[in-house]
Amino acid sequence: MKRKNKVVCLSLCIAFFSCFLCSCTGYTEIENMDILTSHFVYKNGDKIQLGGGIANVRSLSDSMADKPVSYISAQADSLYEASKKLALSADHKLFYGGIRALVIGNEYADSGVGEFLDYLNTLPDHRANVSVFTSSAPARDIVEYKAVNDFSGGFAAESIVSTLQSQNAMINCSLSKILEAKLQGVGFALPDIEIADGVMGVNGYSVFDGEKKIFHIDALSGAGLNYILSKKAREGYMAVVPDVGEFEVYCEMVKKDIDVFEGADGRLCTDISFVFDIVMSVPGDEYLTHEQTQQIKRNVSDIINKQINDILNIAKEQGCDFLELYKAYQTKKRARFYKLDWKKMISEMNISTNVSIDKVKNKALR
Amino acid sequence: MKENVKGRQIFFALLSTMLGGGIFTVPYVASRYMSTGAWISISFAASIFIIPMLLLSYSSKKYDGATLFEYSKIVLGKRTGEIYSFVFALFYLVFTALFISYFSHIVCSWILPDTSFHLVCAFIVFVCAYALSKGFIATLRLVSFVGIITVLAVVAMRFSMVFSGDIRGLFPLVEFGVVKKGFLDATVSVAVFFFGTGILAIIPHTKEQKRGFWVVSAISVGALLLILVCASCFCILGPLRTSLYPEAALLSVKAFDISSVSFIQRADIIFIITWTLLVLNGVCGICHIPYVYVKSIFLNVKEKIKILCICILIFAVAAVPYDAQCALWYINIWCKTLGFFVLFVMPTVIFALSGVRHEKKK
Amino acid sequence: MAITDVKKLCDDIQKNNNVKKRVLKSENGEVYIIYVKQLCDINLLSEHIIRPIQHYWQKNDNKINAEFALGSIITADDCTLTDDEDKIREKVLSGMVVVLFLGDTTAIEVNLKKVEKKSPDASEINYSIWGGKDSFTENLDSNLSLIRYRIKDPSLKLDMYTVGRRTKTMLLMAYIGDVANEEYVNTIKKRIEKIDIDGILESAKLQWFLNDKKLALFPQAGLEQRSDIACSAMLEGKIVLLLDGSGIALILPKLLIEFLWSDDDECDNIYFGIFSKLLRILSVFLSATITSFYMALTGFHAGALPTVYSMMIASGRAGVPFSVVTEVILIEVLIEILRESLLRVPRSIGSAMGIVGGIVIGQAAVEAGIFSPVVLVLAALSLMSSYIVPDYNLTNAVRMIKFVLIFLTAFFGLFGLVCGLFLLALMLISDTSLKTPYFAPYAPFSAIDAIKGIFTNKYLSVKRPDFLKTKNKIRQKKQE
Repeated sequence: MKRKNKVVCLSLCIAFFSCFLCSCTGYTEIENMDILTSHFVYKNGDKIQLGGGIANVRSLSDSMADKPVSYISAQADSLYEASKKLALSADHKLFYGGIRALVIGNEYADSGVGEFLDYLNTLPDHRANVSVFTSSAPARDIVEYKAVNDFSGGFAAESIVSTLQSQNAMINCSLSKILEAKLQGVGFALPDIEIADGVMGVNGYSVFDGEKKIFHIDALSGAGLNYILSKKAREGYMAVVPDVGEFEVYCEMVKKDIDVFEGADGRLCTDISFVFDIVMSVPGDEYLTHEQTQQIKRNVSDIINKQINDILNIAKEQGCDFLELYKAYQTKKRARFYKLDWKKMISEMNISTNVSIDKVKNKALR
Repeated sequence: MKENVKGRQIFFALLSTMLGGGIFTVPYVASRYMSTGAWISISFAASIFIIPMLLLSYSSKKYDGATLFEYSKIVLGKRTGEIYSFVFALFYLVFTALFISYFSHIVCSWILPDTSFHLVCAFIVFVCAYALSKGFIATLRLVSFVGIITVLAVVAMRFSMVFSGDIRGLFPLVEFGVVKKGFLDATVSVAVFFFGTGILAIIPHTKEQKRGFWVVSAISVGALLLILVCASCFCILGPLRTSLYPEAALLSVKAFDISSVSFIQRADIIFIITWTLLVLNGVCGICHIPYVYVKSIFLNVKEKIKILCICILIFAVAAVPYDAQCALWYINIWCKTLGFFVLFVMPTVIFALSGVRHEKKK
Repeated sequence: MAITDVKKLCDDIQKNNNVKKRVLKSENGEVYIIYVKQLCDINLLSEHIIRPIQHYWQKNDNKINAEFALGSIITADDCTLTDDEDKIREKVLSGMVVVLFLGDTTAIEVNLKKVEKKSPDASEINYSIWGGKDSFTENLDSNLSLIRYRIKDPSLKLDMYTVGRRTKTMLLMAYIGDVANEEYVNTIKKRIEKIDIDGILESAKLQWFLNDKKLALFPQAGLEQRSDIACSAMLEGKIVLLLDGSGIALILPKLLIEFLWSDDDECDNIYFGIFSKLLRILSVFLSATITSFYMALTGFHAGALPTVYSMMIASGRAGVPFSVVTEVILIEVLIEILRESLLRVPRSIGSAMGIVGGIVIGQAAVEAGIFSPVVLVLAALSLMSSYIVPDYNLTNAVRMIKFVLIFLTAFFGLFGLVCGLFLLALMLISDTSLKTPYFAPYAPFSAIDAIKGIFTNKYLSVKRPDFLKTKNKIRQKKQE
């Protein structure tokens, strides 16, 4: 090879390898990061408390390990300072991609969660589908909660909600939905968790208007919310037939039609119709007469109708669209939506609901 | 370059160039002006590109499978033809560089935040250099092979996103007020991502190709796929967030949970793989345009020197320090100014003049 | 050079110590027999040459010359006349017996070669469950007999060449004249004629002269020990090359996808054949990329893994002193060392070494905290997947590629891995084997051949694949 070519080749090789060697180590291994399984924000007096549960990964292989999750927390006057303090207090870089549950303390929720949502958006690797909850229980109790089959509180909270959701018994609210609602300027409902007698459970929903929590709906009243927001809700009732007795029935939503439009008077009209099938454990059709079956149908449809009307009226009274009625409106007039004063429209809306029961199935209830 | 290029290869070459650039940015760009009516601007942008592509095909057919650089000299005269060829090649050199720059910025922002931008840029230019050294036919075959796999993956993933998301996000399909207001801006912005179809200028025409059919199919399918990508973003993120975030396409896959069907919990891994392959396909195809020009001009220079020069020029333009939005803006401006002339005006002129010359010959 | 002086020629050749000269004298002339004792069958020499000549002289007084002796005296079957001194020297040294007649310018070459050879045995490099077990040996004549035994077609062409200036090794090019592509035959012929080297002693080394690209990473020719597979390749229109002294046949052209097919696929039922082929394709991909994926997901894209998996990997890696990149490279190098050492170790201790290497070192390394269990499992999976490929040559190429992909992933994560695979695909697509695209029928894509390659076999399809451009496309008549 000629000398000139050798020099050129050698220079290219040196440049090539030095480029590779000097700047290509842009990664941090998973074991060198603190995996957060839950992340919370609470308010303690005037201070903002930010923290979470760091998974103790050694406990997976070592049954003698102390605790499966380590509680970490930082307090400061503002969220930004708290997040800085939190990062400084962790012995490794915090990994947000493993968060299973985001918990917002009810006191903090009352003052507004906008800053917290913006902060979450800046977190690297955050999951948009992470479940978000509110709670009044102490943060440490939630983080260190140990269910039988769950690693930590974060996993437990997520499991509870996803199990109920898979049974169509409640709705889940992810970070993505909250961010969407915040952008649209509408409300949203977050499941509220509590730890009662050492057991974690859902005790209703926290309803937010924009960024602030405005009220709490208990679990029983939340059925109407479930019907409107979920794709296939399922609830159980006790239907009373005079002179016969009470029957346990389960309603499964078959069809839902939500129509939101502007009426001639300029007010919003909300027409919601549902079709349900009910399932009873009464053996055979001959056990109940046709009249009695119709009575049960009427009974159940009245209860459901009332629940739906109640929740719509709450939305109307509060002027808060936490039932995603705006989505139904936007399917027809998306651009116009942004010109309307939606809160005012909701507070003045006309409500019309129709609940019908289609089939009555008799089978042994699982 | 008279090798046999099949119709299927043309189809995927055009499709890859459209999808490579468009899949990341079109949802944001189109929904910013048209909201849920983004499909209208995409369809229209695709349809206006069919015309210059058919003109290019026809001209190549008329001049016995010659490339644009060859028959432009015949039609326009030697000097004018050389100037036009130079402008055409220069346009695509800068377009390739800007495209690489934009892609590198996104990689450095979202995939490799700790890696140097210049290094990623240099790596992609290296891939282009390798593609140039292997030849255009090998690149077309690769694009065709990789294209089938990536298009299937994109279709499967995006369809899943549409059906698992909130389908109300797609409606209303048309809002006349919004269409009227934003149609022109949206169409022109979306049209930028169809400029990669200019690769047709260097693909020689052969009788077996049925080129017209493949060109129209590629552009139509490309438009449909971009509409599908938009639809998936609308269903997962919603039209509002899609129009607000330039990286909406990536955010939508990050928000798509597939942990119940897979060992990974987010679909962004699949997106990174398919999008990288599409971009590499597109870039490796387009970078052949200035190379073919250089090959036709500098006949006595070694191939390796030509490739090195082209790659250095591409890197020099791509490595200019501006951010992703700036790169996108430059692509936009560059395509609107010179691109319109290069891909619409001149092919029409050539087509018209070649008809006149043909009549004179008769 | 023509024969001028028989005595001088004999003395000249005999200067080589191994060459023996037997002189038969009578009143009617002298006959000189020159041969190499170690390469000739002495009994046949006595029986077919010496005794008949002596017998003839006992009964007749005529002078004999080469032509007469060939037609009426010598009883050996393989004899030719020659008058070239240089050729005579070459033939004697290659094991032929040359009979010279005093005063005659022509000599007789008689083939009475006796070479130490082994009988056809089972193949050691191409193992399969079904199919014939007789493999090629080092003797070209035996190999020829194996081919002739299987293909009795008059169109079978067996062209002989000599390669090596000093070794003068016989090279056999076998193909079916009315099936094989004429371009392939001519290309190979030209390349063989260009070979100008002291000697080639192994068929596999012919690849340096016959391949399209000398420095290609992936093999461009098939190496086969089994005679039935070599014959099957000829029936498909390919060319088989056999070198005297080598028990391996070189098959050209051979494409990438064909390295993943096994003869057993055609012996099992069609569904299992399809399953096996798909499994092999997946395994090759896994073998090359699984450790790179692990690195990418652990170091660069940890957010893509569900939390439980992240925790499990972090738990396994807790305490490992190396970074994930170093760990993966170390384990791969260790496995390569183990693989190479098991190749060279004597069979009697091979299995013990395997146990020591695999179980003891692996288990001990994990317990000592040098490697995490996950990376050990993945490296083992990569190793086992590489052995699923029927052709060993491809395994070696995949091993090399794996390291390149590991390095690219170490620098650029999943993006680097995808770019690496893209470059690999570009390389494979641009490669050729005897000017046939290496990645055919997938690039350039031929739907029929691509589907047939995986979802059917030779015995279910009427036509031969298009990419071989055979003269005769029809393999079998369409079944009604």
